[in-house]
Amino acid sequence: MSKPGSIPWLMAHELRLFWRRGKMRPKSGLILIGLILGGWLLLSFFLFQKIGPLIPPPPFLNGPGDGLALAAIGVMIGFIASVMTSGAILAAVDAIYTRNDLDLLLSSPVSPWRVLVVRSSAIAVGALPLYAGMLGPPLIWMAIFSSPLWLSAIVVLATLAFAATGLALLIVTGLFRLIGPRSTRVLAQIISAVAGAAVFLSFQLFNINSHGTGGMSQDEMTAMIAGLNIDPHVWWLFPARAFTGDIVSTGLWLLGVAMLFPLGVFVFSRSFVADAAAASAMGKRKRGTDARVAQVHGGVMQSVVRKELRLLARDPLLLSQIGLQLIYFIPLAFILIRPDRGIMLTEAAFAPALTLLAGTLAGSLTWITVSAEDAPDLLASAPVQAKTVDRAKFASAVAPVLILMATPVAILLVRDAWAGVWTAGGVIASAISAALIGLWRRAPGTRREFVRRRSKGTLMAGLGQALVAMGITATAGLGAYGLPWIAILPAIIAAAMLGALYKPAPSSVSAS
Amino acid sequence: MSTALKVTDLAKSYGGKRAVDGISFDVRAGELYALLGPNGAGKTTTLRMVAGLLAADAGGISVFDVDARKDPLAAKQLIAWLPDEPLLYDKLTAWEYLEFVAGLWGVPPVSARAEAERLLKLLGLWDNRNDRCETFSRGMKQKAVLAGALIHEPKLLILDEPLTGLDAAASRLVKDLIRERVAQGAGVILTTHILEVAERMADRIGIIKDGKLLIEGSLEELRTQAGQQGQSLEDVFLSLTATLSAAEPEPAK
Repeated sequence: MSKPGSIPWLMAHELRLFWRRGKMRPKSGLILIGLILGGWLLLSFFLFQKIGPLIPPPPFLNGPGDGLALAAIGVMIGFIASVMTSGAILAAVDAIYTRNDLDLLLSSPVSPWRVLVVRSSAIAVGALPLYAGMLGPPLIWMAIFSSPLWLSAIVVLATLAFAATGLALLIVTGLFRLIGPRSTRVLAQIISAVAGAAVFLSFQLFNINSHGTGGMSQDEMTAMIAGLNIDPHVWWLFPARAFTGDIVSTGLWLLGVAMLFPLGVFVFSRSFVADAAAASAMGKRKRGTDARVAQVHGGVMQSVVRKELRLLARDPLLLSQIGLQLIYFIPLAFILIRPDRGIMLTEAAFAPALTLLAGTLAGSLTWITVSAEDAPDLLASAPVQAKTVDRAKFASAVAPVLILMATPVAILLVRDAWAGVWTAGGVIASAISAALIGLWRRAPGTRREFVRRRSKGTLMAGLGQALVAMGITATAGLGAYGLPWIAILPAIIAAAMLGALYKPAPSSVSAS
Repeated sequence: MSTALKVTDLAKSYGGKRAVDGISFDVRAGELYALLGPNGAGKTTTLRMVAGLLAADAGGISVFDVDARKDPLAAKQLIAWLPDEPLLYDKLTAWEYLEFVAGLWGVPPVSARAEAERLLKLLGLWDNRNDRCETFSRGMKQKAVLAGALIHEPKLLILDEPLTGLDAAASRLVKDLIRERVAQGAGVILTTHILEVAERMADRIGIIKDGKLLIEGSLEELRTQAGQQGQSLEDVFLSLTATLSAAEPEPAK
């Protein structure tokens, strides 16, 4: 057992909290993860036993073919790094704003530097399990069946989390210095969203901008890739070379991480106390008195809708999450507005995209308006029927989505009425069904809990919303592509799933 | 004097444990009733049932002759509930919060505006009316919630530890407001661990323990029953809870 107050002891504390943050019991979670991991290990064994010997052994340092392979690996690393950095930025912001036990730790006689090093390391360690679980087993079998040099990939993956965390700490600290606490939180969340989508977006923008009129056929695409003629020794491919076991690049990579992470922790820790104090004082600065006296509007339904819309509009985390969802839509929107550029998609393709987006957005908003209620006692003690409040919350979640979707749907209706009608139907059905599931399968909590949990309520609600949205998306897509009779099938499945998820909303307490 | 609240044989169990065990008492209009008891005695559970936040297993609750279990909305129209933890919407301003609460209780906008202004000025929050509640101190939040509780001019105020976290000045202000409501004929029931507050403010005091009402009456009546003439409520409370619980049979094992 480690000495209380030591780095291992603090790290054990952090990992215990990390492990217990979910709703699942630790033992059940361990069994479930063990089963999934064991299954994946077994499956990947059979897979890589066959294909492992066919994979060319690294390092890939000979000619443009290897350069292309390294570039592909580099893109994958870039994607993982962007997602890890995005998570680490949010975690670093949380460390400043939602200090929780940090006040306790920092008021103890344990060195603050040690506390913050461990907390920063925990951010990095927290980013690892997903990728370690997904890529670890294949890499182990590739090391056995292809080349032991693939083990280097595991080292790069593990250290990548620390590099991403170091970078995130520098970004957050820098933002604090540049724009102050108030804007840092919002901007960090936007940057986090953009970082998470960075690779996807670059690809889409490249795709849109890399050619002129008309679409690019598969042959043209292949020819273009072959013509890239990437030198495997080019400097910016060194993370990919490290991933594939090139000794020099691995050393360079490890040296980089060994500098970046401590630098991030050092800079972050040095300013943490001041930043946290500034953050806690945020909003308390004395402003000139706002002398406005606003009008008071009445009505139960209107009051609840007004309150929900105000809260939605003032929730930076929510806005950043919606921003992330919308970011994925930017390339589509670009094509929709400028049909002469990179037109690989017909209008019908927008039906499933917009339908899915509407369902996702409505699901998020319903979770916020229905489940994340900060003053449930106030509503429960008011002389209002619970169903009236539910209706208002439902409307508050669905209305913004429909307003947001109105413009693209209108453009589609003008350009292709058939696709537009199916899209409009899909968007409405998807938004309403997601909101209904959110109502039926609510998981009460406060907005603060929402921030901490970063989830959308119960597993049943999340899964249900995803499956129903997929059914409606398929319906809208098939219908828009001119296959209305086939579209009936996913519509029936979606309706059946929606029916299965129905659960009467809890009635007003006193009335029970 | 009419009855503001009548509680009859009220009961509530959690997983087989009786949290409230057949409590009966009443609060008259224009009276402040303090419900006291040790931690876990069932005070908050009782108040939450009265406020319509928790369904009772058995018993009756009547608010100004409205059966709260049969017609909860009509009863809630007359009630204000002030919890110990101020539950506010951080992102709403104080003014918007009051507007929202007034909307829930169906207060006409014109009177809501006038009452909001009066309460915010009275509670010293007028200059902060357009500030978001997330910027408020604990005391300011408590005052904002109190303003929300009073905006519909309730006839029965249910206050669970209303002075928690308040400084001396804010505490005095809240006590004055409560007295004002009592003088205007409202019934007030409150729980508090600050026995001096109950001693100074309450017309009658009920002491509960293990979900049962041990005793109730004015402070003088309690002193008499405890045989502690001239003693403070704290002495009386400790004596009564020790004596009366000691007199109870040992629970079956």
